[in-house]
Amino acid sequence: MTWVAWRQQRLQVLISLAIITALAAVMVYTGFDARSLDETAVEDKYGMYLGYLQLLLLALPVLLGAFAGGPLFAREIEQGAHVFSLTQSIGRTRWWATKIAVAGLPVVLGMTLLGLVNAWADPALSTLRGARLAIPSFEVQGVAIGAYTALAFTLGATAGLLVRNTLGAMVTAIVGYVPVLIAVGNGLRPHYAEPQGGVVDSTMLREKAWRVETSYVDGAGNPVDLRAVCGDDVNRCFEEGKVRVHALFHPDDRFWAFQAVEAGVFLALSAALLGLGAWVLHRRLRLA
Amino acid sequence: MTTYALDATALGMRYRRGWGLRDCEFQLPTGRISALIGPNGAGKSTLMRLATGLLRPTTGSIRVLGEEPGRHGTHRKLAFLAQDKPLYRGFTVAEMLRAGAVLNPSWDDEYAWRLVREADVPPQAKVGTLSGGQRTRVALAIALGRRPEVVLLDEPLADLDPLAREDVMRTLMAEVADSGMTVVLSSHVIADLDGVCDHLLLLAGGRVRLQGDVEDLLAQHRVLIGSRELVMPDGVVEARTTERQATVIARTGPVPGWEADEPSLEELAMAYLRSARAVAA
Repeated sequence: MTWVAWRQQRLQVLISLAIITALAAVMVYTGFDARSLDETAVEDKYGMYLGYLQLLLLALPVLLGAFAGGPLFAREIEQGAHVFSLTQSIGRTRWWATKIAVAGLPVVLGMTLLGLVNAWADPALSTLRGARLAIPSFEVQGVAIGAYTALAFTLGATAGLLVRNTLGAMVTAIVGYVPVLIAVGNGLRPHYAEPQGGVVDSTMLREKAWRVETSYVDGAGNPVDLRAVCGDDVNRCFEEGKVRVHALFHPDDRFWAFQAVEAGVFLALSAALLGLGAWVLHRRLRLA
Repeated sequence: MTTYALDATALGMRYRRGWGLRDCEFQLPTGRISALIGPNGAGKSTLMRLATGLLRPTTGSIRVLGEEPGRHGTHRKLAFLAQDKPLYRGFTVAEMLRAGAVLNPSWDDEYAWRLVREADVPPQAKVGTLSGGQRTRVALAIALGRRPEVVLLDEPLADLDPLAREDVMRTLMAEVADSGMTVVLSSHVIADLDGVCDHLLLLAGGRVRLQGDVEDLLAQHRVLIGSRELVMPDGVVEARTTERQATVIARTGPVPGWEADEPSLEELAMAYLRSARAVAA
Protein backbone atom coordinates (compact mmCIF):
# COMPACT_ATOMS: atom_id res chain seq x y z
CA MET A 1 0.00 0.00 0.00
CA THR A 2 2.92 2.33 0.66
CA TRP A 3 3.97 2.21 -2.97
CA VAL A 4 0.40 2.85 -4.14
CA ALA A 5 -0.01 5.81 -1.76
CA TRP A 6 3.36 7.22 -2.80
CA ARG A 7 2.51 6.87 -6.50
CA GLN A 8 -0.78 8.67 -5.86
CA GLN A 9 0.64 11.50 -3.76
CA ARG A 10 4.18 11.94 -5.06
CA LEU A 11 3.47 15.02 -7.17
CA GLN A 12 2.00 16.94 -4.23
CA VAL A 13 4.70 15.75 -1.85
CA LEU A 14 7.53 16.70 -4.22
CA ILE A 15 6.06 20.12 -5.01
CA SER A 16 5.66 20.87 -1.30
CA LEU A 17 9.17 19.71 -0.47
CA ALA A 18 10.58 21.79 -3.35
CA ILE A 19 8.89 24.92 -2.00
CA ILE A 20 10.17 24.18 1.51
CA THR A 21 13.72 23.51 0.29
CA ALA A 22 13.81 26.71 -1.77
CA LEU A 23 12.67 28.76 1.22
CA ALA A 24 15.20 27.09 3.50
CA ALA A 25 17.97 27.92 1.03
CA VAL A 26 16.92 31.57 1.00
CA MET A 27 16.88 31.63 4.81
CA VAL A 28 20.33 30.09 5.09
CA TYR A 29 21.77 32.59 2.64
CA THR A 30 20.07 35.49 4.46
CA GLY A 31 21.24 34.25 7.83
CA PHE A 32 24.89 34.20 6.79
CA ASP A 33 24.68 37.44 4.86
CA ALA A 34 22.96 39.36 7.67
CA ARG A 35 25.52 38.17 10.21
CA SER A 36 28.26 39.76 8.10
CA LEU A 37 26.53 43.15 8.00
CA ASP A 38 26.13 45.83 10.68
CA GLU A 39 22.73 46.72 12.11
CA THR A 40 21.95 49.63 9.79
CA ALA A 41 22.91 47.70 6.68
CA VAL A 42 20.68 44.80 7.78
CA GLU A 43 17.77 47.18 8.24
CA ASP A 44 18.28 48.67 4.79
CA LYS A 45 18.74 45.39 3.03
CA TYR A 46 16.28 43.08 4.78
CA GLY A 47 13.45 45.29 6.09
CA MET A 48 11.13 44.44 3.19
CA TYR A 49 12.33 40.84 3.03
CA LEU A 50 11.36 40.07 6.59
CA GLY A 51 7.85 41.46 6.10
CA TYR A 52 7.23 39.28 3.06
CA LEU A 53 8.86 36.24 4.63
CA GLN A 54 6.61 36.46 7.66
CA LEU A 55 3.54 36.82 5.45
CA LEU A 56 4.58 33.79 3.41
CA LEU A 57 5.38 31.67 6.45
CA LEU A 58 2.06 32.54 8.06
CA ALA A 59 0.22 31.29 4.97
CA LEU A 60 2.42 28.32 4.14
CA PRO A 61 1.30 25.80 6.82
CA VAL A 62 -2.37 26.12 5.90
CA LEU A 63 -1.66 26.18 2.17
CA LEU A 64 0.59 23.12 2.14
CA GLY A 65 -1.55 21.33 4.73
CA ALA A 66 -4.77 21.88 2.78
CA PHE A 67 -3.01 21.04 -0.49
CA ALA A 68 -1.80 17.70 0.88
CA GLY A 69 -4.82 16.82 3.04
CA GLY A 70 -7.85 18.11 1.12
CA PRO A 71 -7.51 15.96 -2.00
CA LEU A 72 -6.06 12.94 -0.16
CA PHE A 73 -9.34 11.06 0.25
CA ALA A 74 -11.74 13.44 -1.47
CA ARG A 75 -10.23 13.04 -4.93
CA GLU A 76 -10.04 9.26 -4.71
CA ILE A 77 -13.67 9.12 -3.60
CA GLU A 78 -14.73 11.64 -6.26
CA GLN A 79 -13.19 9.43 -8.94
CA GLY A 80 -14.70 6.29 -7.42
CA ALA A 81 -11.22 4.75 -7.16
CA HIS A 82 -11.67 4.03 -3.43
CA VAL A 83 -13.98 1.19 -4.52
CA PHE A 84 -10.93 -0.36 -6.15
CA SER A 85 -8.65 0.30 -3.15
CA LEU A 86 -11.08 -1.15 -0.64
CA THR A 87 -11.94 -4.30 -2.56
CA GLN A 88 -8.34 -5.57 -2.54
CA SER A 89 -6.77 -7.63 0.23
CA ILE A 90 -6.07 -4.73 2.57
CA GLY A 91 -8.25 -3.31 5.31
CA ARG A 92 -9.78 0.12 5.47
CA THR A 93 -7.60 1.20 8.37
CA ARG A 94 -4.41 0.36 6.53
CA TRP A 95 -5.55 2.21 3.43
CA TRP A 96 -6.39 5.28 5.50
CA ALA A 97 -3.32 5.24 7.73
CA THR A 98 -0.88 4.66 4.88
CA LYS A 99 -2.28 7.52 2.85
CA ILE A 100 -2.17 9.81 5.90
CA ALA A 101 1.45 8.89 6.61
CA VAL A 102 2.70 9.12 3.04
CA ALA A 103 1.03 12.44 2.28
CA GLY A 104 1.23 14.06 5.70
CA LEU A 105 4.54 13.16 7.32
CA PRO A 106 6.89 14.64 4.67
CA VAL A 107 5.08 17.99 4.71
CA VAL A 108 4.83 18.19 8.51
CA LEU A 109 8.47 17.21 9.00
CA GLY A 110 9.60 19.52 6.21
CA MET A 111 7.77 22.46 7.74
CA THR A 112 9.22 21.67 11.17
CA LEU A 113 12.73 21.72 9.71
CA LEU A 114 11.94 24.97 7.91
CA GLY A 115 10.86 26.48 11.24
CA LEU A 116 14.14 25.40 12.83
CA VAL A 117 16.15 26.88 9.95
CA ASN A 118 14.24 30.11 10.39
CA ALA A 119 14.90 30.06 14.14
CA TRP A 120 18.60 29.83 13.29
CA ALA A 121 18.41 32.71 10.80
CA ASP A 122 16.23 34.86 13.06
CA PRO A 123 18.79 36.38 15.50
CA ALA A 124 20.58 38.05 12.58
CA LEU A 125 17.36 39.88 11.73
CA SER A 126 16.07 40.35 15.27
CA THR A 127 16.42 44.15 15.18
CA LEU A 128 13.78 44.23 12.43
CA ARG A 129 11.02 42.57 14.39
CA GLY A 130 9.14 42.90 17.65
CA ALA A 131 9.05 40.33 20.44
CA ARG A 132 9.86 36.79 19.32
CA LEU A 133 6.94 35.50 21.40
CA ALA A 134 4.41 37.84 19.79
CA ILE A 135 2.36 37.44 16.62
CA PRO A 136 3.68 37.04 13.91
CA SER A 137 7.27 36.25 14.87
CA PHE A 138 6.25 33.33 17.05
CA GLU A 139 4.25 31.61 14.31
CA VAL A 140 6.96 31.61 11.67
CA GLN A 141 9.83 29.85 13.44
CA GLY A 142 10.60 27.00 15.77
CA VAL A 143 8.64 23.76 15.98
CA ALA A 144 5.06 25.10 16.16
CA ILE A 145 4.94 25.74 12.41
CA GLY A 146 5.13 21.99 11.78
CA ALA A 147 2.23 21.38 14.17
CA TYR A 148 0.20 24.10 12.38
CA THR A 149 0.77 22.20 9.15
CA ALA A 150 -0.38 18.99 10.83
CA LEU A 151 -3.65 20.64 11.89
CA ALA A 152 -4.38 22.02 8.41
CA PHE A 153 -3.52 18.63 6.91
CA THR A 154 -5.70 16.56 9.25
CA LEU A 155 -8.55 19.06 8.83
CA GLY A 156 -8.35 18.62 5.06
CA ALA A 157 -8.01 14.84 5.18
CA THR A 158 -10.92 14.28 7.57
CA ALA A 159 -13.10 16.83 5.79
CA GLY A 160 -12.39 14.91 2.58
CA LEU A 161 -13.88 11.74 4.10
CA LEU A 162 -16.94 13.68 5.21
CA VAL A 163 -17.68 15.98 2.27
CA ARG A 164 -16.11 13.71 -0.39
CA ASN A 165 -15.27 16.71 -2.52
CA THR A 166 -11.75 18.05 -3.12
CA LEU A 167 -12.58 21.73 -3.24
CA GLY A 168 -14.91 21.45 -0.26
CA ALA A 169 -12.24 19.67 1.79
CA MET A 170 -9.58 22.26 1.00
CA VAL A 171 -11.92 25.15 1.80
CA THR A 172 -12.91 23.44 5.07
CA ALA A 173 -9.23 23.11 5.98
CA ILE A 174 -8.57 26.81 5.43
CA VAL A 175 -11.80 28.05 7.01
CA GLY A 176 -11.32 25.79 10.00
CA TYR A 177 -7.62 26.53 10.51
CA VAL A 178 -7.51 30.33 10.52
CA PRO A 179 -9.83 30.92 13.50
CA VAL A 180 -8.00 28.29 15.55
CA LEU A 181 -4.63 29.94 14.90
CA ILE A 182 -5.99 33.37 15.83
CA ALA A 183 -7.82 32.11 18.90
CA VAL A 184 -4.81 30.18 20.24
CA GLY A 185 -2.40 33.06 19.60
CA ASN A 186 -4.56 35.63 21.33
CA GLY A 187 -6.58 33.68 23.83
CA LEU A 188 -4.42 30.76 24.90
CA ARG A 189 -0.76 31.55 24.36
CA PRO A 190 -0.53 34.39 26.95
CA HIS A 191 -1.56 31.80 29.56
CA TYR A 192 1.04 29.12 28.81
CA ALA A 193 2.92 30.47 31.84
CA GLU A 194 2.29 33.00 34.59
CA PRO A 195 3.39 36.36 33.17
CA GLN A 196 5.97 38.32 35.07
CA GLY A 197 4.87 41.75 36.23
CA GLY A 198 6.73 44.91 36.94
CA VAL A 199 7.44 48.49 36.29
CA VAL A 200 9.15 48.56 32.95
CA ASP A 201 11.66 50.95 31.50
CA SER A 202 13.27 51.15 28.10
CA THR A 203 15.75 48.30 28.70
CA MET A 204 12.85 45.92 28.98
CA LEU A 205 11.78 46.85 25.45
CA ARG A 206 15.24 46.20 24.12
CA GLU A 207 15.12 42.67 25.53
CA LYS A 208 12.00 42.14 23.46
CA ALA A 209 9.82 40.70 26.15
CA TRP A 210 6.25 40.00 25.10
CA ARG A 211 3.93 42.43 26.87
CA VAL A 212 0.49 40.94 27.41
CA GLU A 213 -1.03 43.69 29.58
CA THR A 214 -0.14 47.36 30.21
CA SER A 215 -1.32 49.65 33.02
CA TYR A 216 -0.10 52.82 34.74
CA VAL A 217 1.07 53.32 38.29
CA ASP A 218 2.24 56.29 40.34
CA GLY A 219 5.59 56.57 42.10
CA ALA A 220 4.33 54.43 44.97
CA GLY A 221 3.18 51.66 42.63
CA ASN A 222 -0.56 52.27 42.94
CA PRO A 223 -2.66 51.99 39.79
CA VAL A 224 -3.71 55.35 38.39
CA ASP A 225 -5.82 56.72 35.59
CA LEU A 226 -3.39 58.26 33.12
CA ARG A 227 -5.75 61.04 31.97
CA ALA A 228 -6.76 62.04 35.49
CA VAL A 229 -3.19 62.43 36.73
CA CYS A 230 -1.48 63.91 33.71
CA GLY A 231 -4.19 65.76 31.79
CA ASP A 232 -3.01 66.45 28.25
CA ASP A 233 0.74 66.54 28.76
CA VAL A 234 1.46 62.84 29.05
CA ASN A 235 5.12 63.04 28.07
CA ARG A 236 6.05 65.52 30.81
CA CYS A 237 4.15 63.41 33.28
CA PHE A 238 6.43 60.43 32.48
CA GLU A 239 9.59 62.58 32.55
CA GLU A 240 8.73 63.83 36.01
CA GLY A 241 8.19 60.27 37.18
CA LYS A 242 4.63 60.92 38.36
CA VAL A 243 3.37 58.00 36.32
CA ARG A 244 5.16 54.88 35.28
CA VAL A 245 4.27 51.96 32.99
CA HIS A 246 3.46 48.69 34.67
CA ALA A 247 3.35 45.64 32.44
CA LEU A 248 2.64 41.93 32.53
CA PHE A 249 5.04 40.22 30.18
CA HIS A 250 6.68 36.99 29.17
CA PRO A 251 10.47 37.26 28.88
CA ASP A 252 12.08 36.20 25.63
CA ASP A 253 13.74 33.15 27.16
CA ARG A 254 10.37 31.45 27.38
CA PHE A 255 10.31 31.14 23.60
CA TRP A 256 11.17 27.45 23.28
CA ALA A 257 8.94 26.39 26.18
CA PHE A 258 6.04 28.25 24.57
CA GLN A 259 6.87 26.68 21.21
CA ALA A 260 6.69 23.23 22.78
CA VAL A 261 3.33 23.95 24.43
CA GLU A 262 1.91 25.47 21.27
CA ALA A 263 3.10 22.50 19.18
CA GLY A 264 1.52 20.19 21.76
CA VAL A 265 -1.83 22.01 21.53
CA PHE A 266 -1.92 21.78 17.74
CA LEU A 267 -0.76 18.17 17.66
CA ALA A 268 -3.48 17.26 20.16
CA LEU A 269 -6.08 18.95 17.95
CA SER A 270 -4.67 17.08 14.94
CA ALA A 271 -4.86 13.77 16.81
CA ALA A 272 -8.50 14.49 17.68
CA LEU A 273 -9.23 15.12 14.01
CA LEU A 274 -7.53 11.86 13.05
CA GLY A 275 -9.71 10.12 15.63
CA LEU A 276 -12.79 11.67 14.04
CA GLY A 277 -11.51 10.52 10.65
CA ALA A 278 -11.08 6.96 11.89
CA TRP A 279 -14.59 7.02 13.30
CA VAL A 280 -16.01 8.34 10.02
CA LEU A 281 -14.06 5.68 8.14
CA HIS A 282 -15.62 2.83 10.07
CA ARG A 283 -19.04 4.11 11.05
CA ARG A 284 -20.25 6.71 8.63
CA LEU A 285 -18.47 6.31 5.33
CA ARG A 286 -20.92 5.05 2.73
CA LEU A 287 -18.92 3.54 -0.02
CA ALA A 288 -21.72 2.85 -2.42
CA MET B 1 -23.04 -28.89 4.75
CA THR B 2 -22.53 -27.23 1.39
CA THR B 3 -20.46 -24.08 1.24
CA TYR B 4 -22.09 -21.55 -1.03
CA ALA B 5 -20.30 -18.83 -2.99
CA LEU B 6 -22.78 -16.34 -1.54
CA ASP B 7 -25.26 -17.17 1.20
CA ALA B 8 -27.63 -14.51 2.49
CA THR B 9 -29.83 -14.73 5.56
CA ALA B 10 -32.50 -12.11 6.24
CA LEU B 11 -30.19 -9.67 4.45
CA GLY B 12 -31.30 -6.05 4.48
CA MET B 13 -29.65 -2.73 3.71
CA ARG B 14 -31.32 0.55 4.54
CA TYR B 15 -30.24 3.83 3.00
CA ARG B 16 -31.44 7.26 4.01
CA ARG B 17 -33.95 7.19 1.16
CA GLY B 18 -35.28 3.74 2.10
CA TRP B 19 -34.50 0.05 1.90
CA GLY B 20 -32.10 -0.94 -0.87
CA LEU B 21 -32.43 -4.63 -0.05
CA ARG B 22 -34.91 -6.21 2.31
CA ASP B 23 -35.35 -9.67 3.82
CA CYS B 24 -33.21 -11.36 1.18
CA GLU B 25 -32.62 -15.10 1.49
CA PHE B 26 -30.63 -16.73 -1.26
CA GLN B 27 -27.79 -19.11 -1.96
CA LEU B 28 -25.54 -18.98 -5.01
CA PRO B 29 -23.75 -22.30 -5.55
CA THR B 30 -20.03 -22.55 -6.30
CA GLY B 31 -18.72 -23.46 -9.72
CA ARG B 32 -21.66 -21.89 -11.50
CA ILE B 33 -22.31 -18.75 -13.50
CA SER B 34 -25.10 -16.93 -11.77
CA ALA B 35 -27.10 -14.17 -13.34
CA LEU B 36 -28.21 -11.36 -11.09
CA ILE B 37 -31.12 -9.81 -12.89
CA GLY B 38 -33.22 -6.84 -12.00
CA PRO B 39 -34.22 -3.38 -13.14
CA ASN B 40 -32.13 -0.36 -12.24
CA GLY B 41 -32.43 0.25 -8.53
CA ALA B 42 -33.40 -3.33 -7.75
CA GLY B 43 -30.49 -3.74 -5.34
CA LYS B 44 -27.99 -5.57 -7.55
CA SER B 45 -25.08 -3.23 -6.79
CA THR B 46 -26.02 -3.06 -3.12
CA LEU B 47 -25.92 -6.85 -2.91
CA MET B 48 -22.44 -6.98 -4.44
CA ARG B 49 -21.13 -4.19 -2.22
CA LEU B 50 -22.41 -6.06 0.83
CA ALA B 51 -20.57 -9.18 -0.31
CA THR B 52 -17.29 -7.26 -0.72
CA GLY B 53 -17.57 -5.59 2.68
CA LEU B 54 -17.82 -2.10 1.19
CA LEU B 55 -21.21 -1.86 2.87
CA ARG B 56 -22.32 -3.45 6.10
CA PRO B 57 -25.81 -4.91 6.23
CA THR B 58 -28.48 -3.20 8.31
CA THR B 59 -30.06 -6.58 9.04
CA GLY B 60 -29.09 -10.20 8.57
CA SER B 61 -25.85 -11.38 7.06
CA ILE B 62 -24.14 -12.41 3.87
CA ARG B 63 -21.46 -15.06 3.76
CA VAL B 64 -18.82 -15.38 1.09
CA LEU B 65 -17.55 -18.97 0.87
CA GLY B 66 -18.83 -19.38 4.42
CA GLU B 67 -17.23 -16.25 5.89
CA GLU B 68 -18.73 -12.88 6.69
CA PRO B 69 -16.86 -9.92 5.19
CA GLY B 70 -14.43 -8.66 7.83
CA ARG B 71 -12.29 -5.66 8.50
CA HIS B 72 -9.33 -6.68 6.38
CA GLY B 73 -10.54 -5.94 2.92
CA THR B 74 -12.48 -8.16 0.61
CA HIS B 75 -12.33 -11.94 1.06
CA ARG B 76 -9.04 -13.15 -0.44
CA LYS B 77 -10.86 -15.49 -2.78
CA LEU B 78 -13.42 -12.93 -3.93
CA ALA B 79 -12.86 -10.39 -6.69
CA PHE B 80 -15.19 -7.55 -7.51
CA LEU B 81 -15.48 -5.47 -10.65
CA ALA B 82 -17.68 -2.44 -10.03
CA GLN B 83 -19.90 -1.00 -12.70
CA ASP B 84 -17.80 2.09 -13.44
CA LYS B 85 -14.56 0.01 -13.52
CA PRO B 86 -12.77 2.05 -10.85
CA LEU B 87 -9.02 2.32 -11.40
CA TYR B 88 -6.48 5.01 -10.51
CA ARG B 89 -6.84 7.45 -13.40
CA GLY B 90 -3.34 8.90 -13.25
CA PHE B 91 -1.63 5.49 -13.25
CA THR B 92 -0.35 3.76 -16.35
CA VAL B 93 -1.63 0.27 -17.11
CA ALA B 94 1.70 -1.17 -15.91
CA GLU B 95 1.48 0.81 -12.65
CA MET B 96 -2.10 -0.35 -12.18
CA LEU B 97 -0.91 -3.96 -12.41
CA ARG B 98 1.83 -3.21 -9.90
CA ALA B 99 -0.84 -1.79 -7.57
CA GLY B 100 -2.77 -5.04 -7.99
CA ALA B 101 0.39 -6.95 -7.09
CA VAL B 102 1.23 -5.01 -3.93
CA LEU B 103 -2.35 -4.97 -2.65
CA ASN B 104 -2.90 -8.71 -3.05
CA PRO B 105 -0.78 -11.50 -1.60
CA SER B 106 -2.40 -14.04 -3.90
CA TRP B 107 -1.49 -12.05 -7.02
CA ASP B 108 -0.55 -13.95 -10.19
CA ASP B 109 1.53 -11.44 -12.15
CA GLU B 110 2.16 -13.59 -15.19
CA TYR B 111 -1.52 -14.31 -15.57
CA ALA B 112 -2.64 -10.69 -15.20
CA TRP B 113 -0.04 -9.55 -17.74
CA ARG B 114 -1.14 -12.22 -20.18
CA LEU B 115 -4.73 -10.98 -19.97
CA VAL B 116 -3.59 -7.39 -20.58
CA ARG B 117 -1.43 -8.43 -23.54
CA GLU B 118 -4.31 -10.38 -25.03
CA ALA B 119 -6.44 -7.27 -24.76
CA ASP B 120 -3.86 -5.30 -26.79
CA VAL B 121 -3.72 -2.51 -24.25
CA PRO B 122 -0.43 -0.54 -24.33
CA PRO B 123 1.19 -0.96 -20.87
CA GLN B 124 2.49 2.61 -20.78
CA ALA B 125 -0.92 4.19 -21.55
CA LYS B 126 -2.51 6.17 -18.73
CA VAL B 127 -5.67 4.52 -17.43
CA GLY B 128 -7.59 7.79 -17.94
CA THR B 129 -6.92 7.69 -21.69
CA LEU B 130 -8.21 4.15 -22.32
CA SER B 131 -11.41 3.42 -24.20
CA GLY B 132 -14.32 1.85 -22.33
CA GLY B 133 -13.51 -1.59 -23.71
CA GLN B 134 -9.80 -1.38 -22.85
CA ARG B 135 -10.56 -0.08 -19.39
CA THR B 136 -12.90 -3.01 -18.76
CA ARG B 137 -10.27 -5.47 -19.98
CA VAL B 138 -7.63 -3.98 -17.65
CA ALA B 139 -10.02 -3.93 -14.70
CA LEU B 140 -10.97 -7.53 -15.45
CA ALA B 141 -7.31 -8.54 -15.70
CA ILE B 142 -6.66 -7.04 -12.26
CA ALA B 143 -9.76 -8.66 -10.76
CA LEU B 144 -8.73 -12.06 -12.15
CA GLY B 145 -5.06 -11.49 -11.27
CA ARG B 146 -6.05 -12.03 -7.64
CA ARG B 147 -6.85 -15.59 -8.65
CA PRO B 148 -10.29 -15.46 -7.07
CA GLU B 149 -12.59 -18.43 -6.58
CA VAL B 150 -15.59 -16.14 -6.84
CA VAL B 151 -15.79 -13.11 -9.07
CA LEU B 152 -18.58 -10.53 -8.86
CA LEU B 153 -19.11 -8.48 -12.00
CA ASP B 154 -21.51 -5.55 -11.72
CA GLU B 155 -22.92 -4.69 -15.13
CA PRO B 156 -19.58 -5.50 -16.79
CA LEU B 157 -20.95 -4.94 -20.27
CA ALA B 158 -22.81 -1.67 -19.75
CA ASP B 159 -21.46 1.16 -21.91
CA LEU B 160 -19.46 -1.16 -24.14
CA ASP B 161 -19.99 -1.41 -27.90
CA PRO B 162 -21.16 -4.77 -29.27
CA LEU B 163 -17.66 -5.86 -30.35
CA ALA B 164 -16.15 -5.03 -26.96
CA ARG B 165 -19.03 -6.86 -25.24
CA GLU B 166 -18.26 -9.94 -27.24
CA ASP B 167 -14.51 -9.66 -26.47
CA VAL B 168 -15.07 -9.25 -22.75
CA MET B 169 -17.51 -12.12 -22.54
CA ARG B 170 -15.25 -14.40 -24.56
CA THR B 171 -12.26 -13.65 -22.32
CA LEU B 172 -14.31 -14.18 -19.22
CA MET B 173 -15.83 -17.47 -20.36
CA ALA B 174 -12.45 -18.82 -21.44
CA GLU B 175 -11.01 -18.08 -17.98
CA VAL B 176 -14.03 -19.58 -16.24
CA ALA B 177 -13.74 -22.74 -18.30
CA ASP B 178 -10.03 -23.02 -17.42
CA SER B 179 -10.28 -22.30 -13.71
CA GLY B 180 -13.73 -23.42 -12.63
CA MET B 181 -14.37 -20.02 -11.04
CA THR B 182 -17.74 -19.06 -9.69
CA VAL B 183 -19.09 -16.02 -11.49
CA VAL B 184 -21.89 -13.71 -10.44
CA LEU B 185 -22.84 -11.42 -13.26
CA SER B 186 -25.40 -8.65 -12.97
CA SER B 187 -27.19 -7.02 -15.83
CA HIS B 188 -30.43 -5.37 -16.68
CA VAL B 189 -30.05 -6.56 -20.27
CA ILE B 190 -31.25 -10.14 -20.01
CA ALA B 191 -30.22 -11.01 -23.57
CA ASP B 192 -26.57 -10.55 -22.50
CA LEU B 193 -26.91 -13.36 -19.99
CA ASP B 194 -29.01 -15.85 -21.96
CA GLY B 195 -26.98 -18.91 -22.85
CA VAL B 196 -24.18 -17.86 -20.51
CA CYS B 197 -25.68 -18.33 -17.08
CA ASP B 198 -26.85 -21.52 -15.48
CA HIS B 199 -28.17 -20.07 -12.23
CA LEU B 200 -30.53 -17.19 -11.69
CA LEU B 201 -31.25 -14.67 -8.94
CA LEU B 202 -33.92 -12.17 -9.83
CA LEU B 203 -34.29 -9.04 -7.74
CA ALA B 204 -36.95 -6.36 -7.91
CA GLY B 205 -37.68 -3.59 -5.46
CA GLY B 206 -34.93 -4.82 -3.13
CA ARG B 207 -36.41 -8.32 -2.75
CA VAL B 208 -35.68 -11.73 -4.22
CA ARG B 209 -38.44 -12.66 -6.69
CA LEU B 210 -37.01 -15.81 -8.23
CA GLN B 211 -33.94 -17.97 -7.75
CA GLY B 212 -32.67 -21.33 -8.84
CA ASP B 213 -31.03 -23.37 -11.53
CA VAL B 214 -31.92 -21.91 -14.92
CA GLU B 215 -32.82 -25.22 -16.55
CA ASP B 216 -34.98 -26.25 -13.60
CA LEU B 217 -36.75 -22.91 -13.58
CA LEU B 218 -37.45 -23.07 -17.30
CA ALA B 219 -38.73 -26.63 -16.98
CA GLN B 220 -41.05 -25.65 -14.13
CA HIS B 221 -42.67 -22.82 -16.06
CA ARG B 222 -44.90 -22.72 -19.12
CA VAL B 223 -45.96 -20.06 -21.55
CA LEU B 224 -49.61 -20.81 -22.12
CA ILE B 225 -51.61 -19.45 -25.01
CA GLY B 226 -55.31 -20.06 -25.32
CA SER B 227 -58.75 -18.58 -25.45
CA ARG B 228 -59.44 -15.99 -22.78
CA GLU B 229 -62.52 -18.03 -21.83
CA LEU B 230 -60.36 -20.84 -20.44
CA VAL B 231 -59.91 -21.33 -16.71
CA MET B 232 -56.65 -19.86 -15.45
CA PRO B 233 -54.19 -22.50 -14.21
CA ASP B 234 -52.53 -22.43 -10.78
CA GLY B 235 -49.23 -20.61 -10.27
CA VAL B 236 -49.85 -17.72 -12.62
CA VAL B 237 -46.93 -15.31 -12.72
CA GLU B 238 -48.35 -12.99 -15.30
CA ALA B 239 -51.37 -13.04 -17.57
CA ARG B 240 -51.97 -10.78 -20.52
CA THR B 241 -55.18 -10.85 -22.49
CA THR B 242 -56.16 -9.41 -25.81
CA GLU B 243 -59.77 -9.39 -27.08
CA ARG B 244 -59.66 -13.04 -28.01
CA GLN B 245 -56.73 -14.80 -26.46
CA ALA B 246 -54.75 -14.94 -23.26
CA THR B 247 -51.00 -15.36 -22.85
CA VAL B 248 -50.10 -16.67 -19.43
CA ILE B 249 -46.79 -17.48 -17.83
CA ALA B 250 -47.30 -19.84 -14.94
CA ARG B 251 -45.32 -22.14 -12.70
CA THR B 252 -47.07 -25.26 -13.82
CA GLY B 253 -46.90 -28.32 -16.05
CA PRO B 254 -49.01 -28.82 -19.15
CA VAL B 255 -52.62 -27.68 -18.68
CA PRO B 256 -55.48 -29.08 -20.79
CA GLY B 257 -56.86 -26.70 -23.36
CA TRP B 258 -53.82 -24.43 -23.46
CA GLU B 259 -51.02 -24.48 -25.93
CA ALA B 260 -47.95 -24.81 -23.70
CA ASP B 261 -44.28 -24.04 -24.37
CA GLU B 262 -41.22 -23.80 -22.21
CA PRO B 263 -40.38 -20.11 -21.82
CA SER B 264 -37.05 -18.54 -22.77
CA LEU B 265 -34.98 -17.04 -19.99
CA GLU B 266 -35.92 -13.58 -21.18
CA GLU B 267 -39.66 -14.36 -21.27
CA LEU B 268 -39.51 -15.84 -17.80
CA ALA B 269 -37.49 -12.99 -16.31
CA MET B 270 -39.62 -10.33 -17.93
CA ALA B 271 -42.79 -11.96 -16.61
CA TYR B 272 -41.45 -11.86 -13.05
CA LEU B 273 -40.16 -8.31 -13.41
CA ARG B 274 -43.47 -7.05 -14.84
CA SER B 275 -45.49 -8.76 -12.14
CA ALA B 276 -43.21 -7.31 -9.44
CA ARG B 277 -43.75 -3.88 -10.89
CA ALA B 278 -47.53 -4.42 -11.06
CA VAL B 279 -47.58 -5.41 -7.38
CA ALA B 280 -45.52 -2.39 -6.42
CA ALA B 281 -47.70 0.02 -8.43
